[in-house]
Amino acid sequence: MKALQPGDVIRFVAPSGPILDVDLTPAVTLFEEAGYEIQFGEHLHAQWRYFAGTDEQRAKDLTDAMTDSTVDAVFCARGGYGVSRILPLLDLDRLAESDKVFAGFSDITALHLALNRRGMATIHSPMVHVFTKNPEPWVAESLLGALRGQPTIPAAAPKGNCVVSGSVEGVVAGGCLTLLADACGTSEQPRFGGKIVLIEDVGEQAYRVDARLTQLLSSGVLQSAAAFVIGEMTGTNEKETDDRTRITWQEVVYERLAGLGKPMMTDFPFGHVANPLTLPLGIRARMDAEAGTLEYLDPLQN
Amino acid sequence: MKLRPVRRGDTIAIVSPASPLSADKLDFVFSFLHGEGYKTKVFPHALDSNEYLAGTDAARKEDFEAAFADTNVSAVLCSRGGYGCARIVDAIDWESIVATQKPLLGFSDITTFHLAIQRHGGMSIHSPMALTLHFPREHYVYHSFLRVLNGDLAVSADAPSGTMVIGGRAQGVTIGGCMCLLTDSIGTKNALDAGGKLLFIEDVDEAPHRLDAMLTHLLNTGIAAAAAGFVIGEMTRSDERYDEGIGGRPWREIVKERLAPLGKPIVIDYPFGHFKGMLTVPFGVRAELDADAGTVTYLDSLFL
Repeated sequence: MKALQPGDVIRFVAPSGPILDVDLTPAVTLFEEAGYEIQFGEHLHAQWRYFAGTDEQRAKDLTDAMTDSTVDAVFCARGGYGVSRILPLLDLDRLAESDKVFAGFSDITALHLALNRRGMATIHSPMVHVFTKNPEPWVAESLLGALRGQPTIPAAAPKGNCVVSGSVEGVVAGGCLTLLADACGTSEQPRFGGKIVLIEDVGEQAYRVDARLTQLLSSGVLQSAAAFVIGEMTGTNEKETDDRTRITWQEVVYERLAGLGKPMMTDFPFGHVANPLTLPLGIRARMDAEAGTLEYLDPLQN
Repeated sequence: MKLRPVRRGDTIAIVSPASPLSADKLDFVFSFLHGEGYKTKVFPHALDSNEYLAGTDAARKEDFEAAFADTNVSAVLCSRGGYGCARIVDAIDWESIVATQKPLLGFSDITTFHLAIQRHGGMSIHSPMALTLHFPREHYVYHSFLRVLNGDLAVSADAPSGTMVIGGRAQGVTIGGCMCLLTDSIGTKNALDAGGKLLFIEDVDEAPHRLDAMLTHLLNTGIAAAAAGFVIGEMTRSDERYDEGIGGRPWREIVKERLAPLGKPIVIDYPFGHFKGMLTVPFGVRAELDADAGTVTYLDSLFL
């Protein structure tokens, strides 16, 4: 991945849900003020059912962006649902040859998995929605730093909570739990051996968090990971309103994963939280569970 | 491997391998089964409760294996689904369970166990459970349950037919169940294998885009393309789960849009699933789907 220079071009694409009423302005302004030129994919504002255009249109926009020599970064404007439908339409080997920045999260996890497994580093980043809600200044600082090839974690960002202590180095991988489980048994099944695995999700009930972690365990995906950096299961604890089942997602994650004996922290600020860090994937980092930190070891530029 | 017949006077075990239920939810199934001449035996942990699980993994596994091993038990009925089978499926000795040739009865989360039994060469019965029958159901639900338990696989004439999506006939062994459990199995050693089979699919309370995602999971793995035909039940309350952030569509349109291009016979709204009109469906039995007529006819027997 080639770090961005002033004047470089960032193209917005929407491989999943439609943009519709999401205000792009704050994200566009952030990038323009940082010195980048913004382009929109041809079908960025298209809508077909609950997608930003047909499968063919979304696949074409993504392929065009990843293969256009005038584009330096491909920024996914939003998630939702739809990447898994276009995976069969993409020449993933060709896309992964790109040295462009590729950024996004949530449903975009399916693309991170596909590109990372082909050796391409990508960036787990907030998307346009986050910047419509006046995030803390360090959210933009983290994103812009990563784009410039300096993925340092701002000192103002909250630390993770240690669940299993230990410090380990490894390549960072992972993303949204639902998409990790949806990839099981496909040609893009996660390969997490020796990796520092990021996991987060939104709007899931505690038992579904359990079910997805259990699927990853039964598929043998998690056992060889080096460490777990759990973000937030946003909105999960609010769903547990039944008096009989007041279990928190933190308890579910602990019960399912702590037995693997790998360093683990929870509540690390990334994913569907109001103030997420930007975390490159496919790049080496050191995770220190007791300190609640993730520190990148290599610059992005290669 | 065919199952041993269950006769009136035989004992049906009641176990809870997934989520907990209160004792009063067993009242109806007791009167129903006892009234038909069956005895029941509630296993020790069937009423345990541990958050969303009916007791610890060890307790649920112990009851489940003990029920099959019990020489006085002829069939094993799950009290309810919910969630929990996936947590213990890898630890269960399926070869021993299949070797007992006793029917497992249940659906929803129990789908995970139906898949494991078929993976090990066994047959089982996709049926309503104690919690299902606690609520009033269509009259043919009770008839269908009793007939299949008695080995009569002729589908009740008063049950509605399915609706054709893609016409044609297909033959294959029956398999399937609740879609989220079908997709949760993918990648595991007890994964759904639908090759050459009639794949039954239903689900409950899933957002429309999740139905799309799960069907896409079945498509991207090649599992769906390998099936001989599709028998779609109801995606109960899916249309009501429209996600404001993502949007949605009526579930029938999603199912048609994803599966019809495969060109296999498909019926939709076949009477099975999480609603008041579920037929009892034997799994592992060779059957013929007549999509034009919306019917499934069993070509072999369930019992020895």
